[in-house]
Amino acid sequence: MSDSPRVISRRSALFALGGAVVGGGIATAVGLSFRSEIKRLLGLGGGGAETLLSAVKSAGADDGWLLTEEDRAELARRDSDAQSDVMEVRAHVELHGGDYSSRRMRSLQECVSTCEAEARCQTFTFSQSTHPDEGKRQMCWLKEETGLPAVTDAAHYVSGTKAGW
Amino acid sequence: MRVDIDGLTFDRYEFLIAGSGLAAYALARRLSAAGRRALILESGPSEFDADLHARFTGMYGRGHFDGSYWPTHWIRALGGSSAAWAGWVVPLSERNLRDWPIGRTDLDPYLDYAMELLRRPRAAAHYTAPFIDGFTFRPVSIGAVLNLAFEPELLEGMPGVDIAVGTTVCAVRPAADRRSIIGVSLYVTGQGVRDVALQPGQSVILAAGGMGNPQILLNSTDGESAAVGNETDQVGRYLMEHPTYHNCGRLVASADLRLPATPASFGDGIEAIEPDEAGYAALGGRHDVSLELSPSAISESDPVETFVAERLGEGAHAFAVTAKSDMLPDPENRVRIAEGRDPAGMPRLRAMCHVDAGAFRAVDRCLELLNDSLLASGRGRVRVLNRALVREVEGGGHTMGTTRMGTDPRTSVVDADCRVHGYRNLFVAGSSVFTTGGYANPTLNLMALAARLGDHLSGQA
Repeated sequence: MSDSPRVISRRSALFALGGAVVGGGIATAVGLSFRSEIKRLLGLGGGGAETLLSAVKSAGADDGWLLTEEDRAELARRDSDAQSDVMEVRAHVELHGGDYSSRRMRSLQECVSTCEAEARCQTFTFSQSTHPDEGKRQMCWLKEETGLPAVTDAAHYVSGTKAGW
Repeated sequence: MRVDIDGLTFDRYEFLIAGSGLAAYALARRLSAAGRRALILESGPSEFDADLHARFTGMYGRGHFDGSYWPTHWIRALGGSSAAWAGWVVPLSERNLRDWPIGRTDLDPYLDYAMELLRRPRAAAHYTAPFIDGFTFRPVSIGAVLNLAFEPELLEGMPGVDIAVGTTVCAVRPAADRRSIIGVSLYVTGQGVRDVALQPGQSVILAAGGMGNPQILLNSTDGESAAVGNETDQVGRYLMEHPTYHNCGRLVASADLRLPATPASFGDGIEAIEPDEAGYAALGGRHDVSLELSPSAISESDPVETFVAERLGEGAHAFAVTAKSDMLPDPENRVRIAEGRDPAGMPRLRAMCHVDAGAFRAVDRCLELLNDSLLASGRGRVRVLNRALVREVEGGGHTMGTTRMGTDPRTSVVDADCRVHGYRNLFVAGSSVFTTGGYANPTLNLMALAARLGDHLSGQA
């Protein structure tokens, strides 16, 4: 069983990564998913070595950086916090195809704001900085189509749409 | 001058030197300066021949360095391994000599002398500068290499010193009382083995490299009694390299963090830092570490690095970090006699050499200490690249420790004067006498030790 993607709010979509505390009352969509993986590991949902590996990867690979608590919280915010007046943003969703642009961005917010500002942009997918594939980290794919095939439960991805899900 | 081994009167020489590399050169220069007479015996030819080299130095090896590794730093030709020298110069420091029976004051005048021979500024052997808390700036001198194969006149032009090529010292023969050696066994290329009896007053110095020196000693046996110098089974043990951890870290620093400018008197250098005394103690006091810092662009493909750079403000810059460290001298890291023979009939060697866990840990901890210091001053962050550190370790091309210096014959082969324990007239020159390795490239240090031995032998020390 996978978590269904959660709509946070139209005005402010805030996520926290790996259960990091971002602020009072903020939903921890990614954190919930991680806990469900742990449940599966404990035998509550079946699974074996592959599940273990996938859960560890979902928690974010160790990047080797020796950072402070504040650094890590700020990094998590950049991967998960976004505010928008016009877009609905969902964690763990990856939209396939329809790209007219792919660019590296410093944060989810930058990706959201860029799509918001470009008339051509209907939807986007952002890949978080913890993505195991170095080439995909902090990539923002801007898309001009709606109704694209969506993969849900996609760790490290966040997507948004102007038209509503 | 160059001499032909045929018809040579060995009695003319006070000293026979096996090998013609930089150890032999520094040694012979001192002997020559003191008016003594020496004969250098080089196993290889005047010009490097790859096939011949391979036939002589082919060996086996397991551990972090295999059998194909060691022969690339054990060159069989006139000038020896100077042909493979990269030109990096850094002296062993006082703390690197902690287990040695000698200290930096014993070495200092000879380090200066070796710098002169290597045509490097003396100042480079003594320079350090303060860096951030916990670390000292200690660059490595680089520059033109002294390759004796390209300048054979240096070897051939020493008054009183002659040199013969194609002549391999295979073994030394002990007196019955094992207090001296009374003969050497020579293989002359294409002619076979001949024995040369030593006259009273003649001495032999092995300067045949970190593999060649133990090979000659281990081969110096009649098959029944212990090999010469190996009465306590120490020859070949304590084999050490300088584990090198290429690009095992990243450092992102704020604009105001700059490495000190090396003074003009230093010449060219590779920028590097080492832990200060407190840091060295925190690493366990057994493993020295050098971190080479190479300027590098901020990696755009690493979101954390760009994030860190942004947090550190305008002008943040990055370094790639390559580390070098000590290896703990371990009697089980060793080279032994193995199956097969080289063209001189000498037994091939098998090396077993594993970098100790403490070495990896010291580098890891050193990178943490660097990060702690940078965090405390708000001037940077460090990334440890674990795979590069732990899985991709390489050597520095340095073969050390196989005829170790010490006061106790139970844990060493030569004494503080580089004399093989118990033998009046048998000495060793080269990095095989290193008791510990520090992180310092051995060339300068082995030349200093060899020059010191030269003065000792000629009564000048």
